[in-house]
Amino acid sequence: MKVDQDTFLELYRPVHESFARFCHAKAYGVVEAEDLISESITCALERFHTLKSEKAFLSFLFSIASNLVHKKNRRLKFKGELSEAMELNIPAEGISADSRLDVQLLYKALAKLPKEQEEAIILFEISGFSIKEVAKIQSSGESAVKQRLRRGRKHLAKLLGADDLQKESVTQPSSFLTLVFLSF
Amino acid sequence: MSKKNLQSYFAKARELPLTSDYAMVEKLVRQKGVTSVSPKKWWWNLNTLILMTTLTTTMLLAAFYWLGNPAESHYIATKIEPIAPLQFDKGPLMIDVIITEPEKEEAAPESIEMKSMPAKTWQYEPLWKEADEPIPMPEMEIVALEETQTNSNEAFEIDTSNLSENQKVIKSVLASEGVSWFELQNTRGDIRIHKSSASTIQLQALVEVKTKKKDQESAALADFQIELKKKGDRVMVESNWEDVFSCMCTSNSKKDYIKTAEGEKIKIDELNISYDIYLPDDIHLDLKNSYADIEIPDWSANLKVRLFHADLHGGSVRKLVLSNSYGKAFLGDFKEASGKLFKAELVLKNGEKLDLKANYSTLNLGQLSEVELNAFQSDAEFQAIHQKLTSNFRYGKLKVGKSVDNVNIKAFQAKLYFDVINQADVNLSYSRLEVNQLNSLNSENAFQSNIDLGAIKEFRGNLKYSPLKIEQLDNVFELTSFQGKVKIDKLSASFQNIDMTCKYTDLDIGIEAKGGYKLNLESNYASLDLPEMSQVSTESSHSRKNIQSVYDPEQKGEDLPQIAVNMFQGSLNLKNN
Repeated sequence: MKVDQDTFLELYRPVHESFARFCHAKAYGVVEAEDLISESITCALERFHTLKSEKAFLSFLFSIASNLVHKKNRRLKFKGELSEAMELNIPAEGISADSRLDVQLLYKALAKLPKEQEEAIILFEISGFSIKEVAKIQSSGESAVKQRLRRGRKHLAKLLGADDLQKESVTQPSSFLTLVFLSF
Repeated sequence: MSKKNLQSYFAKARELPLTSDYAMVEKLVRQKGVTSVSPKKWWWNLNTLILMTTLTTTMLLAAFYWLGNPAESHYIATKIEPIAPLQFDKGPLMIDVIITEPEKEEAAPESIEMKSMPAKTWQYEPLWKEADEPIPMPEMEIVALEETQTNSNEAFEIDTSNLSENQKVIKSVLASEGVSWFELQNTRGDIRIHKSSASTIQLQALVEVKTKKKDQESAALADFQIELKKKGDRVMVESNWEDVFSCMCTSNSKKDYIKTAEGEKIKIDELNISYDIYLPDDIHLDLKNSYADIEIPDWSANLKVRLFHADLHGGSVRKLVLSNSYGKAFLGDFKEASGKLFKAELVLKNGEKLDLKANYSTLNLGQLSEVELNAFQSDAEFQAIHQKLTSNFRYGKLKVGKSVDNVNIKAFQAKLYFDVINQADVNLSYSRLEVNQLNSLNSENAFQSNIDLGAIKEFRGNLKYSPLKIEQLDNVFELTSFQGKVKIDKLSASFQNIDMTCKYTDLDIGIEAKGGYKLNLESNYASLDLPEMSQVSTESSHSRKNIQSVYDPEQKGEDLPQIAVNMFQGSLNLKNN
């Protein structure tokens, strides 16, 4: 595998939006989403030469972002007070106050889920990856991912006081991404 | 109200505009570039070099220390033992030795023998072995200074019949005229202070000496003297073995050498002195003791005591300055007390003023007027504080039995229990406060703390993550709360003003039914459970509600008190009992 900027960008371009949404959801209450994206990219560039296969890029990139958030979270333990300013850091452009509040509530509830359930829900529901891709990113089986999604949704519905999505299909397609990554 | 489904939340999250576009990331990648594979590092780098150098230096230093630092006894043994046989057996080999130090080698054994002879005879033929009758104790001495006087009126006797060979009694007397302070420092010996009506300071000390060589104990004991010395308005106890006294050894052995008046050098293993001091109680005491006790009767002058692994048992005192580490102090009533405690216990009866710093300690005090307490990992219990309590209390438990007029306390991870308080200003973090009866409480920035109050007239506070429970509230309640839970069991009919600004807080308030009131409520995303009231006006838009209502069972009209609530999220449960 070639280790240069073009290869990195080639691999990154299709997942940019999913990755950015993942960072938005994960960064809530911990760090600015923009900072998390930049920091993850910088870290990925520094470690890019350790990547053995292009197939592993997804897992590689998302693991870096996830680890960075956990690292920040550990440091946050030593800070006593919750910053209320954190709750208002979602940009207002193009989205109503009502929607902004709902997103804020969703992120807050997601942060209360177990790490693996939280990541599975973000990757599948917000970033738009398929079950197969989520399994690849989380380095686990598809059935495990389905189980995480089911439990996560149930927990989330309880936290938000919302209707569960039990009846809806869990196999939400992400056809474009699937095509790109299965082609490698 | 119909529930939203999760999909709507996810859809909104997917619609959220992104803060970073691809162009920005591409720019970052172009600027930063991909790090190429770093060359494999050779194991011999700067870190290894520093580590190896430090290790080698340490090992060399250790080797030099063990090989090049022989003890004194080791040196003497090598000097005496091998020379004698070599001189007679191997002539040619001894030439060097004879040339270098021939006379010293021969003279050395003689001089050693000459010096050691009297010691040997004294050692192996002690006087008591040959004596038919018990030898009178050589230590019964009265050190009489020029200005000292003996007071024959006082009981100033000690039973010397049970004294062992290494013990003696020393007595000293000094006039107490012009003396303000008596100072005494001791280690491993009790100090007993006795009140005397005579105008003298009398000292009676039981001295016990242990030397490394048993045969030197008598000589050491005979040499040791202590006396009362006056310096200005202070009287102190001084000894001719100041080196031993000044030794700060904490172990049982002093490990000190003394030189007697005859020039004999003796190693002292242990020197224990227990004192009985007789003096008038208008002389201030400055006492220090380690690993033993101090006993004091009721004392009308000031008392300054430093304890280290020592206990103090005393009566009432006027002014106490105490430094207590690892000890226990039990005293009676006092007028004023201050000091420091470290891993110590302090038991005092009633007093006026206390200013104390306590770390890892336990305090048990009677009724006081004014207290200033700085405590860390300590437990304190007061029967009552009548006037003022000022405290910085961390990681401990504070309990005050009866009423306090004024409380100003800053607490961190502490448990505070009071019975009655008139006025309290508290700053709580991770703490618990329980008060049965309160006139007024001002809580500044309570954080993750639990406040449980009985009957209270006025409450003003700012709470974060802190639940508050009040059994009965009479007059005023002004609250700003974030993520809390507030429960007021009974809001009196005569209340004046309730003003609450709450976020993510559950409010549960029970109001006395006969009292009428006006409700001015502004809420956003809050769950409301209100009693039946006459609605003045109601505005509602989406999640926001603005309600103005009146509950007026007695038809008072305009003179009704007001409940003003501003809520974001959380819930309000208002009920008329």
